[in-house]
Amino acid sequence: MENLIQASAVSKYFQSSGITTKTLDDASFSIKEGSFTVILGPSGAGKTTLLNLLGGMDNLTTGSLVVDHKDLSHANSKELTMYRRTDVGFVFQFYNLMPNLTAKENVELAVEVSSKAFDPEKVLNDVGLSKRMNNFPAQLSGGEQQRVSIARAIAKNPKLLLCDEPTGALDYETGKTILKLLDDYCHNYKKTVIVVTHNAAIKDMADEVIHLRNGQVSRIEIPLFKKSAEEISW
Amino acid sequence: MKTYLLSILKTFKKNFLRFLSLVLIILVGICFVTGVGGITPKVENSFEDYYSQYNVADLIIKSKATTGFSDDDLDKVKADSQVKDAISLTSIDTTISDEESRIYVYDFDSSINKLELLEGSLPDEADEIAVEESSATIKKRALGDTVSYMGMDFEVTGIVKNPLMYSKDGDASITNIDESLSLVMYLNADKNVLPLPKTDIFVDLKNPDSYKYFTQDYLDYVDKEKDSLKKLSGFSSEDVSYLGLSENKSYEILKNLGEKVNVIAAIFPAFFIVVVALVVLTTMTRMIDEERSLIGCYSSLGYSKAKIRFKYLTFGLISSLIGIASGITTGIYLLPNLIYPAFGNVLILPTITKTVSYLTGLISSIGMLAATLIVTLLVTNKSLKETPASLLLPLAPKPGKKILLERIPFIWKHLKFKYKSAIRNIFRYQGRLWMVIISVLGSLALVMAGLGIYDVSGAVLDIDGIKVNLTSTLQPIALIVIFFAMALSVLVLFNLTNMNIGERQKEIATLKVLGYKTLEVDSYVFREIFAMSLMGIILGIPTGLGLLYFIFKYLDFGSIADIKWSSYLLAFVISLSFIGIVDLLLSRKIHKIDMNDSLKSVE
Repeated sequence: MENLIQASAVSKYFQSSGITTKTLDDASFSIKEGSFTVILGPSGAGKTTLLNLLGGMDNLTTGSLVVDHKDLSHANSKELTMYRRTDVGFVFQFYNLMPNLTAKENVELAVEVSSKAFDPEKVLNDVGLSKRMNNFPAQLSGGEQQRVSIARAIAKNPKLLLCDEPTGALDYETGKTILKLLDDYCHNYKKTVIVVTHNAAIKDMADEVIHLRNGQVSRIEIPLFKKSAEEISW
Repeated sequence: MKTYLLSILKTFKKNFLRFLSLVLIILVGICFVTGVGGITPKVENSFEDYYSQYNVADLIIKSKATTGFSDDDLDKVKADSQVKDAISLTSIDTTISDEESRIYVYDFDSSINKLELLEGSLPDEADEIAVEESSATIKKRALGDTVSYMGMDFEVTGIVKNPLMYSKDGDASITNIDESLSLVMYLNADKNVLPLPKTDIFVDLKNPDSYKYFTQDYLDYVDKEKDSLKKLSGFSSEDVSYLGLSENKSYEILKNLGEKVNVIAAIFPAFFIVVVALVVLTTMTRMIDEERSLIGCYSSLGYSKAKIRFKYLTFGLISSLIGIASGITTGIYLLPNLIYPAFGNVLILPTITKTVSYLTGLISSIGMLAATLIVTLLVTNKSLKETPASLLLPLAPKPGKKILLERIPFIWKHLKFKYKSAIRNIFRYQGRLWMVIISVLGSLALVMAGLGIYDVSGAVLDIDGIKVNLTSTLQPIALIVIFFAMALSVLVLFNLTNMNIGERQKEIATLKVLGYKTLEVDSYVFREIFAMSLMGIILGIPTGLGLLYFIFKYLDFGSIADIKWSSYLLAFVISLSFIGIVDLLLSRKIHKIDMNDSLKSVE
């Protein structure tokens, strides 16, 4: 498989009252198209910064980051917006659903600005929410809300699905079903999925694991025995 | 303690935009109320000073008999206990070479009803005269001009002004009431050789309670004195008439104009203050809601409720005090001084008085301050009733729910998704919706009313047969009302939009993450505010008309039918463009919202 992402010496500095903090320091790695990658590391390792860069939500300071032949290191904010619109789907720890929109409408919100999108009802069916489509977020459980959030990300039919601690706010069982959903998407649609987490158990289901520590890539690991979402436990 | 004070200071820094818009809204409201309320007092006080300076005659007793008054008659008047002093003099209205003229034989040294010398010198010889300053009706004459009367030629040596004649329209001739006087001349009583009777007695009353000339108390006092003089002097009412200031044309015009302005000064501020108070209420409620986790934090750290309350009361107090102080100072000086010259189109104005009137401003300021503090106290108390634990949890967003329109699938199904979302959002927070509608409606109604007054201010007002053109006086006031109403609506819209954006940071960030373009995000946010404001605008025009109906009724002139159609259009267009301006100003705030900060937390 071809590389979807190529990161070379990616750094991100933050300046605050004269002090420069390197949240990401010379990170280099590549991610294959259609793979399930876990970015693992403790708090403060630079995971979120990396995710923001991969998602086109922030600019890097130095280095080069190419996603699907697009060089994000030189993209302006308009180009980044178009990148987010068509190429990436986001899943957050806290769902970030629009409270005044039903499950279906939340998905429609994403579909509306995407040209190659899936049918919202079909996607909601796929994530097992066929009966909850007309419910508002407040009427759904945490797991259900995260499914809506995944449906919203998938419905745009993006090449890349970025998930920031997707199970962080969920109980064990629910968390596992969510991971299964992400894994299925990766395999059934041949899409690239990246999960950012500090939960080491999740790495067992990855094709590749990028270990981050103090803003640097400390190790890249390819698990010998890839497990399914049902098989992992924490 | 130091940390605590620092946290108060931080509240201001963090809520700077909120603080600024509170200050500005209160400033505009109080400035307007103080200023408009101060116009009539300013004009009246200026004339008050003028009357006092020239000691205007409180009462004129006019003889209808050709013989006039004798010295005995004058003594009888002087004997009255309320009479401070009295003089008898000649005042005859006649026609001199086709001009309606009045001839005074005047005692220039007397302290009663002194004349102001504007040019030249007072007549010192039998064939010299002074003439009244020219006006719309009184012909202009130069020093050295001559006037012939009773076979004598008189040379004009001075131009003077009589404190009883400052209406630009001029007084009517007593002998020929349909004509205005064109010449008023003054002969020196000491040098006069013409055999003229003493027709008038000018009376200076003691006025022991120092009633001001433009008060009802003064008029009542003079009326009482008329009666007592009638009894005492024994003049038959067929022979003499008693004329107080209320029978003086200039006085009457001024008093009437003042009352009209006062009607505007009473109705508008009431409306203004309601709108301002509503905005303050919304702003403070929103602020406390935003700071609830902070309040919870202080609470759990063991800060007393009083200390937490004090923090927010300080914010409310300082914002309103700054707004009030600057509003009163600008209002007292700015508006009355700006409007004063407008009265000059109808009246010959004396020097503007330095006396300031801040009664209306003071009353509304105290009301405003009390309202702000009570509102702050109530919303803070509501939060403090919760336990610190529950305060630390974010306020659950109000769950979305189906609205009535969704039950009509025939309409709902055909709506585009983005409109569905906007409509549902609008009705989700009913309280907010009404707040926006009422605030926009209120400020637009004020704009509408200002335009309406402007339209009818060309009307001719009939005060007991005296026709006064109101244009010159009311038009600048109408313009000021329009200006302030516009300022208020911009501030109201700015504040409400600012709050709306603040409330929806997370939604906006979500849209950005989903790849919505700048314009798409803007329209998603502004669509709702626009729709709500539009409802306010649509309701605001009839409300403005209702307000105008009231104003016209109390002003005793003008009608809704006089309002030009262009004013309706203008009110509408003005409001729409204000929404546009505010949106433009605040789109920067939307663009600045950071996706990461807003999405990574529960809050």
